[in-house]
Amino acid sequence: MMMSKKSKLWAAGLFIIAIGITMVRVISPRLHEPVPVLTVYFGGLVVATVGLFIVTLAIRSKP
Amino acid sequence: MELSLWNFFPGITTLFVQDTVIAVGRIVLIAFGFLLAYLGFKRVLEPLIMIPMGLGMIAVNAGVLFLSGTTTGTLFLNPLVSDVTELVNIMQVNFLQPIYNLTFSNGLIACLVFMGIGAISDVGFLLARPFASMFIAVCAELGSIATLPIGVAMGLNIKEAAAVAVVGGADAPMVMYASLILAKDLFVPITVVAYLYLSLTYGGYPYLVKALIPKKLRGIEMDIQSMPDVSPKEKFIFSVVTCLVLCLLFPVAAPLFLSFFIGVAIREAGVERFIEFLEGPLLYGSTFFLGLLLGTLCEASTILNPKVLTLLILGMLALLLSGIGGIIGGLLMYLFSKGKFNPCVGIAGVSCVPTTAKVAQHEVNEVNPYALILPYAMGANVSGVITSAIITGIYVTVLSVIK
Repeated sequence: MMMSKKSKLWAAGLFIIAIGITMVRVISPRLHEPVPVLTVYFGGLVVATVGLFIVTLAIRSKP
Repeated sequence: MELSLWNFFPGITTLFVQDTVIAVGRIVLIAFGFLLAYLGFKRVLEPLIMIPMGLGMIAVNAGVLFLSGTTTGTLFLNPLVSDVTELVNIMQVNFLQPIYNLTFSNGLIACLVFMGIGAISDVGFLLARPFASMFIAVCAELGSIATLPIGVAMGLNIKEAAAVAVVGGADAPMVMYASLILAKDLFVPITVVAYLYLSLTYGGYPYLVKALIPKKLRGIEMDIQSMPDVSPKEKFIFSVVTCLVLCLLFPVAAPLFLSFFIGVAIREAGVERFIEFLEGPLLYGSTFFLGLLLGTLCEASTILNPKVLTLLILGMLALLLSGIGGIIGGLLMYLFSKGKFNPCVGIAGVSCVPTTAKVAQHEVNEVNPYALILPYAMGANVSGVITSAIITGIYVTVLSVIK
């Protein structure tokens, strides 16, 4: 079964958000040096923001 | 027992037994309270905050009495009491102490205000043009980011600098929330500075727009007809998903996110009774007590903290930089859109809902009475609220782990 564009955007957005949250909440606290911690933390925030933007497009796109 | 006429007027007598600096500070703050209340009455400053705050400031600095022997104090509230037994005793004497401890010192009042702001915010404008709104809002956080290192360079510790940098987000409940967590000792002056300056944005930002955007660009008409309609269902789903993601990312700031998005969700779900409650009694009741408590917290001994001058400078700088950042965002969008985007929308990225959006529309109408940019400006404005909350969340999460 072919996925609609809306479903693809939802799936992609939520997947990217999940990666971002994993970076911020799971990987970053397990690191010890300040530079890698902050890099992974802020990198995760950027990834989650991109995911949220894609979800926004998914909400708006027609089914 | 010695009786003298002066004992009947402790408000005046205490001026002569207190330290001269404190006594002069009290007189100056009484005069300042009059000024704030008057400027609120004249609508130069925001009357919703300034009238209760001005009167509170007058009362707390005038109503000083002898508590025991030569100890002076007031019957309003004691912000520094921490011992539980002492607190229970004081709650039965100071009439504002229960409201302060149960709503103010835990940040609840900021969350209540935020629920009301959520209920009056339409995220449809943001969803109609998500890229432009988010891009401008991120640019308008320049002050919140750049003020942090400047504050540290001016002698504040990193938590205090972050708390005052949040003023650049132009969202006073957020400033209060951040300063309560990051710089509890300075939260009174930081919050007072934030509210004073935010009242001035309506008067100051038009000059910034005129100075940085050429008249020709200010009159650009934008295409409103092609803006897509966003249904309540889409707005509801957006508020729920965004609340979930932001709470997962920043648990420390989750109360703020929940408060804002529950307001948005109730608005979009059309629950009329709750909407009326959130945007009426809750928002205005909380704002009233916020103003009154802020005023009564402005005792001379608190405001005469030597760091207040630094906070005044940094607060002004943060708002100025955020305004400049927003306008730069607007100008970049003008370039990206090949001249179809009015750069005045940029100032609305500074999230003082809906003041900066109204400033943007007003400045455009001065040049071109037929140009309508308000929907775009509201999109940037609402996006700015979310961005400010994210910046606050980052500061609170990252810096609260520093000892």
